[in-house]
Amino acid sequence: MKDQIRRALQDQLLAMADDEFLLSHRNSEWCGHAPILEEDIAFANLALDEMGHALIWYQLHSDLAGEDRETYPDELVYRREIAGFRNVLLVEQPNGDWAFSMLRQYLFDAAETVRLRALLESEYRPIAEAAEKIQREELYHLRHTSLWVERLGLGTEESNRRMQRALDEIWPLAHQMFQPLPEEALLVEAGLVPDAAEMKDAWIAIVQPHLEVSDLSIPGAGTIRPPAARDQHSEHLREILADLHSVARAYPMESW
Amino acid sequence: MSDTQWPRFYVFKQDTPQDVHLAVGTVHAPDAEMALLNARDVFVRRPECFSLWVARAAEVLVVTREQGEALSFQAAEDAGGGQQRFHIFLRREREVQHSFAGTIEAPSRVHALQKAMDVFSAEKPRVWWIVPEKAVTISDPLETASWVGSAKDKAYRQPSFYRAQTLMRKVREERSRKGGDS
Repeated sequence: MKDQIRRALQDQLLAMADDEFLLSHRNSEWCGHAPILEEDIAFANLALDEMGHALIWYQLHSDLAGEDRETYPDELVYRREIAGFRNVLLVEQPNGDWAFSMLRQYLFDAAETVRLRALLESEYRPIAEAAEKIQREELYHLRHTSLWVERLGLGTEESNRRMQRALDEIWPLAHQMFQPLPEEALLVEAGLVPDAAEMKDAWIAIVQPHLEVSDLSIPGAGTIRPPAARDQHSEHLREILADLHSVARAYPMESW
Repeated sequence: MSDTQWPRFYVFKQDTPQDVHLAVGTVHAPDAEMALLNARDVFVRRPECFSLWVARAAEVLVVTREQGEALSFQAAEDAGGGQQRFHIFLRREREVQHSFAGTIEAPSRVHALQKAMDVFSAEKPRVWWIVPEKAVTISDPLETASWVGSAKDKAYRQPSFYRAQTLMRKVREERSRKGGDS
């Protein structure tokens, strides 16, 4: 594999891993606080699944980077500075209310489902195999969050109002998920990753009808700002990392 | 009196095609579709799950043997209407879980109970559950296969994955090797 392509693929995998990892972290914060016990368990399960997905992508990244896949993911998570993270802003945002978290999860799950479907055809076999495994769980996530979005959208005046507010906040951020990374064109040409614009269309084809059926209005095109680059982060990520890194930094080299 | 709880659903799990469904617990959910998803999250932790059922608790007749005997005397003579199918679950002496015994056709729950008490008398159950088939939502077999797959890959979700005792022993040994307590 040419160096330039390998490095671009590494970046792609790191971005995917960071998204899953941060979202898993946010979801885990609901543990003990969800509105009902069954959802507490469901969301914890979801977070665990995503942690597993993040690990898979971090490991593939490690393989390409020539690092030890048993130890490098921990390095990436616990010792990388904020400037090195490549997640989208959407997954850094605090959990907000249940509507916000559920809608964010839904839009992310739909994007993941679309991406994984395409990655099944990747010319890079480890990615295609990983996508096959991960997709089984993502379908379940998408089902779960779809049902919730519908029930909250059509539920009561309050649940609809909260969902609409969540959609208004999240929709402009969601587009960053389909912003191509630098060098991504090389990967698309080599059949390693799908085209971002095509994925976005596929994503809209899933979420738009479902949101409408759930009595939610999608904000107008005028609200979309040009998406930030993935190396730009907010104070939210700084707070997460301060918390996440504190124990590992106080006790380096301990095993848990 | 208002009830802010979601309706309850009984959950029945069949581990392998060679097993019968066993009652494993209950979940609350706004409806049957979500109950099935919740049941998967709450009860399908270990890889063995071939089929999952959920049934609205409000529609299930639950009686002890004594209550059943009393009820059967009161069953209406003329049931009218058509036959329905009822899944019979029972719990035998010294058993912990209710297990699936069979499916009976009857015009009503009480009639199904009467028949069941006759058909399954040799089991000498302590408790009967009469579950109308129409109250049951079953898992999609293709889906259940995918749940099992993911549970198998996730050993770290089981408490047995974490060997805290061995680790603590190691920590103690290292501390005593270094001489005295820290």
